[in-house]
Amino acid sequence: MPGQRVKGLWSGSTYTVIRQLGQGGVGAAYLVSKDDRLYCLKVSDDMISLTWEYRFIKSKGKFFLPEVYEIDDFVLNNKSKHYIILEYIEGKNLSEVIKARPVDLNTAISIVLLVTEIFIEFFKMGYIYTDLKPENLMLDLKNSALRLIDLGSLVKIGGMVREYTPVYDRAFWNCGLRRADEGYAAFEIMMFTANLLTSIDSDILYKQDVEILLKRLSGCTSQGLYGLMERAFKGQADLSDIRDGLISIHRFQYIPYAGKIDFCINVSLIMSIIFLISVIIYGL
Amino acid sequence: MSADITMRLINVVTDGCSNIGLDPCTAAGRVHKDGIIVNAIGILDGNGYKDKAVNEIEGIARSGGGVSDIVKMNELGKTLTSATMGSVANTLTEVVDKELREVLRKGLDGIHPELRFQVVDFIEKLTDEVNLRVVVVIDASGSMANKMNEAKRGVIELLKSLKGRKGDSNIALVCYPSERNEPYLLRDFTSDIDELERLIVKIAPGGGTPTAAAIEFAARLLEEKPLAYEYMV
Ligand SMILES: Nc1ncnc2c1ncn2[C@@H]1O[C@H](COP(=O)(O)OP(=O)(O)O)[C@@H](O)[C@H]1O
Repeated sequence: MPGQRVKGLWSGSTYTVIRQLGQGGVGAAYLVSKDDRLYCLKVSDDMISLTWEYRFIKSKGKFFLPEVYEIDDFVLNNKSKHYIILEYIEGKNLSEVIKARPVDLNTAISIVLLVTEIFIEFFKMGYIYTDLKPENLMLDLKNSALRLIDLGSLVKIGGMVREYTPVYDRAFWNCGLRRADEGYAAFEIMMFTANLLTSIDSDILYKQDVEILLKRLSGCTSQGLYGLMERAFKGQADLSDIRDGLISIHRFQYIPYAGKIDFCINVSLIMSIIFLISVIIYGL
Repeated sequence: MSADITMRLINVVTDGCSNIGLDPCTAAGRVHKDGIIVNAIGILDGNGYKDKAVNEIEGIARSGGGVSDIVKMNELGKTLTSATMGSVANTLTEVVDKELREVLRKGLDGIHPELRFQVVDFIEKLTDEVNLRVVVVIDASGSMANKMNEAKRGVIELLKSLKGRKGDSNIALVCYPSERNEPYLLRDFTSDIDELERLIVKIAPGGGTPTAAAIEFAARLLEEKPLAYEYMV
């Protein structure tokens, strides 16, 4: 509700709600302001998941994640609720972007390559992100970068997959267990790629058969990418295979900056993201 | 040590139009008193949810100390999983909160938000490690006929999810109604996905909707009491 004030019980900070940004699995996100600065306030009843998200970003902060500033409780209609204050990412959700304009092969590969780098970072920290989907990726217009929101699905390697979206889920396609391992992440990334390149209609979804999907994909992707998908779907590719595979088919020259993903990876990748962003802004 | 806790749950999958016997909410409340969590998932027809059905589904979960949800097409498995794990986490949180109140004289909300993560980590760990015994109760009455495929897939999806956990997960399947309009046991506790998949295709929908009796039947199964009804496949 625009104009409403949210006052932290512990910190005493007061935020004014400007508008709702979106609704997610565990709660809602609002654009709020305090002392003329804008923030994203995430509200939820689920103390566990908010505490977890706050703690993770606080201790492992990365450029591809929003910054987190505060966690607190507040009272709404006599009920105790929880919130965290995140950096407001000015930009567009990837799902809005692809709805407005399908991405071409090279842009798709750029996006997926960035996602793979992020997943490799998580993997090094001992985590798997299990709910990759366009809704959870933001194109940050101010910093020209790809940012990941909603850490609700991040789990320790080997743990149970709590949040997932059936279309991208390995177990849904009968390609393995619903367990957070490297193969799960590799599967998810390539299924996400498949979705960027073709619409997986309900007919294919209902059959839950990757062979049928692969047949469909063979028409609309390059040989190299097709091979990578096939390997990931069959559990024969790990994250670095995917990164190397994507680099080799990417049209731009790629110069990896070891360990420097925090500032995007590569000039040419940044260029293609900037291109995408300028398309969004100016409707080129 | 934590791995030795076992939690008992009943997940009712229904379209919420119980029409034989007791009020299912009363049954859920009674069962919950014995320490069993009852979740209720509604599969309703597309648009225009029936208020009465939604009330019944929410009522079962409220009395049963569980979680309720109404699912969209293709999402039953996901919803069953999040309701199951959500209710487990809620219950464990309540237990931890109560312990804290006894030891520290303040609950989780009395701890500074910045410092709660230690407790949260502990609850997360427990959630992953507790053993679960889950009875899925499938409403296979006449009105569910066109939703049976979704229901069957959903149950398999649930088992696939639970198998990713560290703790043991066992699922039993109770269906209703039988030819005599009573609940019956389709499969006693198992963690064998293939076997459940084979059995589940045999469910043939039709008949009335004795939801309360089915909840009580499931509770007896969890309490390892002799079953009052027939055992049939
Ligand atoms: N830091 C942020 N900056 C801008 N918009 C955001 C931010 N975080 C979330 N949003 C918006 O809010 C929506 C819901 O947020 P999300 O984090 O997915 O919620 P949940 O954790 O409840 O699933 C997103 O799809 C996005 O559009």
